[in-house]
Amino acid sequence: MLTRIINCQIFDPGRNGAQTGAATFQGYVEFSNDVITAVGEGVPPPADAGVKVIDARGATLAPSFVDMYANFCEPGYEYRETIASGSRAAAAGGYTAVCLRPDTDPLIQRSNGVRFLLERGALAGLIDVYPIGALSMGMEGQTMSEIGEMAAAGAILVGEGNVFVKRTGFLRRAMEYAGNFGLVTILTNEDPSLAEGPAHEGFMSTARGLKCSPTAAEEIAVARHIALAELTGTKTLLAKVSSAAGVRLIRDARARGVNVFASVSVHNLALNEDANAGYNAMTKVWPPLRAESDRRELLKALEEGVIDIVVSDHDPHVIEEKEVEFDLATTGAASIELTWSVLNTLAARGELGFSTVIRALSTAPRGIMGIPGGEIRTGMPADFVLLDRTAKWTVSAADMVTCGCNTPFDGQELIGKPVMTIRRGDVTWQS
Amino acid sequence: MDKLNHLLGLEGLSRETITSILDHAVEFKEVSRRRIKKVPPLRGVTVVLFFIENSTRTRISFEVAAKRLSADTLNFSASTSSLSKGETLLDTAKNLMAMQPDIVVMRHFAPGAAKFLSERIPAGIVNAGDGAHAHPTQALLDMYTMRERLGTLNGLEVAIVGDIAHSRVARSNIHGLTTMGAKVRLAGPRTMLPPMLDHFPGVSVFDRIEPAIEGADVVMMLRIQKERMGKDLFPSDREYSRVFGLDSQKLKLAKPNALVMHPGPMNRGVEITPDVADSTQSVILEQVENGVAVRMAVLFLVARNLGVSEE
Repeated sequence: MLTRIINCQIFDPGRNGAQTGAATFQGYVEFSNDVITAVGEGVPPPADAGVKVIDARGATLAPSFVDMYANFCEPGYEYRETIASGSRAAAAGGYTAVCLRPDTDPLIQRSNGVRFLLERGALAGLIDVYPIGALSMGMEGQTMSEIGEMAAAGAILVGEGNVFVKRTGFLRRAMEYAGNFGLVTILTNEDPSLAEGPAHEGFMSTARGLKCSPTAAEEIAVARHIALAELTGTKTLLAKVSSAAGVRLIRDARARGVNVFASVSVHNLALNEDANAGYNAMTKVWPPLRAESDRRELLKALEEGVIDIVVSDHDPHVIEEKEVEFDLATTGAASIELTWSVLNTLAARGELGFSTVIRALSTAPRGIMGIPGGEIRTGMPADFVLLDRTAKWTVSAADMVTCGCNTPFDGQELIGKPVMTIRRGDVTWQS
Repeated sequence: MDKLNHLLGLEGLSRETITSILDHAVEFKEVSRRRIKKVPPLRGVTVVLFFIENSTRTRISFEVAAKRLSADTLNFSASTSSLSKGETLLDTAKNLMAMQPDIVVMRHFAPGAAKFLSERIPAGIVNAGDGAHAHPTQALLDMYTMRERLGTLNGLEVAIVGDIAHSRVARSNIHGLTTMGAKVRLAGPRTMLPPMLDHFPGVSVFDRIEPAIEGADVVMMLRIQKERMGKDLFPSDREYSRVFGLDSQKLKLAKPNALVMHPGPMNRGVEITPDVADSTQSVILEQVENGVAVRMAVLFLVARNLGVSEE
């Protein structure tokens, strides 16, 4: 079936920075089934009978988003979220593809786990699920998991979730082996022996008496992971970088041509350590919310492309896990449906460029993962998001699509909302 | 004066409020020296002593304070409670509320726990220590003792020596003392000094005890936790006592007749030598006595703010 979206501001990252024409233009997009068949400026010629017409009413049309770090909690923690509920929340956030952490119960460490996630994702039918297979059995950093079998089952990513691989020699071999199958290794960055608690080590943690982790814990891990990326040649994504020190190392590595990429969590871009000062467990996320100077450096690095992508770090929890003392609360926030709105709010404040946000959510993840899309032109997949860039609305944790209750943004006014998500030509979300 | 519906910490309290608490404590101290150690203002008021983290001294001090004000007290501690059976703090607190207490005095291992409770249950919360965050009544009794002995807090040089990183007593004293115009010198091995302490206005930081106590009006020694000995923070209690402990030689650096204080319980021979602890300069037992008076004042003022006290 032929569908036409009219009356939209098209943002095509493919045109961004090109000499011909602006990246954003008023126009229309036509697609048949799951492929774009026409893109035009201005008002389209009258549609034939049988063409489905969607009036975007001035909303911005951009390539749909891809999240490279989320937790949908299935299998094992279905009381928090399921693939189905997480998929709905993702679609509500403008996503059509999500990479899922391996630390479920059971872990994703064999081909059966990969197949399970792919099947559940297909059953929900709203997003493409990309399982991140564990690097080691039991995520204990001792014995390699069945990486080749997982790759054969469809995995393109491996990593150990939020767990730090203690034995560097093991990590080296696991990365080499993963590279053998063309997989991307995703590594988080914190030396646990330096990390004494969930807060950033700084004046806030000193004043509030919170256990904390210094940025050096991240710096050491980032340095190790860059060295291993260089040693092994395996494409490596440093997940959720949070500090200026981490950025400095990555900037240097990128300049030297190391095969390393970086992501930042939406929380570290939007919030700093002061968010923890009231002991609100909803603000307990990992990596720690750091100093304002770190946050500024992350924004700058994202703008410059030293950090490639932004992840939601979606991590849903039930209220009884969060309605407790800060020290005892679980870590994480359910942010997938809010991520673009939070970033757009930063853009509206002048802290980020709109095109940077689209690059970080749409283009760069597809590039790192090697999946098609990310441009609005004929022949590309019909994966779009329609964005209302000016709508002001207030986050209500109780009204979120996710089963998770936990957001540090509850009650905050955000600017902008995804109004429609289209995956392979099908509308998967409409507000 | 600030509204004292709760006492969660001293941060943000005005000089006027702190002065008022200390002034009330002067009157209540006299009560403890009567033959009949009881006055009626909290008659019919129920005070729950909700101690999630074990403490004998602070709990007893609060209990005596409440009873001398004629309040009814109810003890609830972690080891005997449903918290040890996995009930959440909030559920336990809600169960307590079914007994209609007016004031809950809480000690907890997690920083922010008192604030957490104050936002969720309809009772006056008095923080009796929350992790490394705050211990406001301890700082108030320290300030009471200093003021009683030295006449004023304004302009005093107070050295606090020991494990600052893990000390709620140090943090509450920083806020209280600097609000009252005193200067605070913090000292300890660098392993026990959290970052950016000098960002507190009126605070200076030393990594040796000697310069910190030189010319000081008050030397407050903090307890070294036994469980930290010989771990990452310092090599041995023997070395600690020699390098960072207070003995009569080091005490000579302070002003003549400088007060020696300790929040207790002391490790004699570790952070303080027995001769200093028992010297005429030591006011450690006065601190304990003043603790009751200060806690009476706090309970009275919170009850008055809640409208449940008799004048």
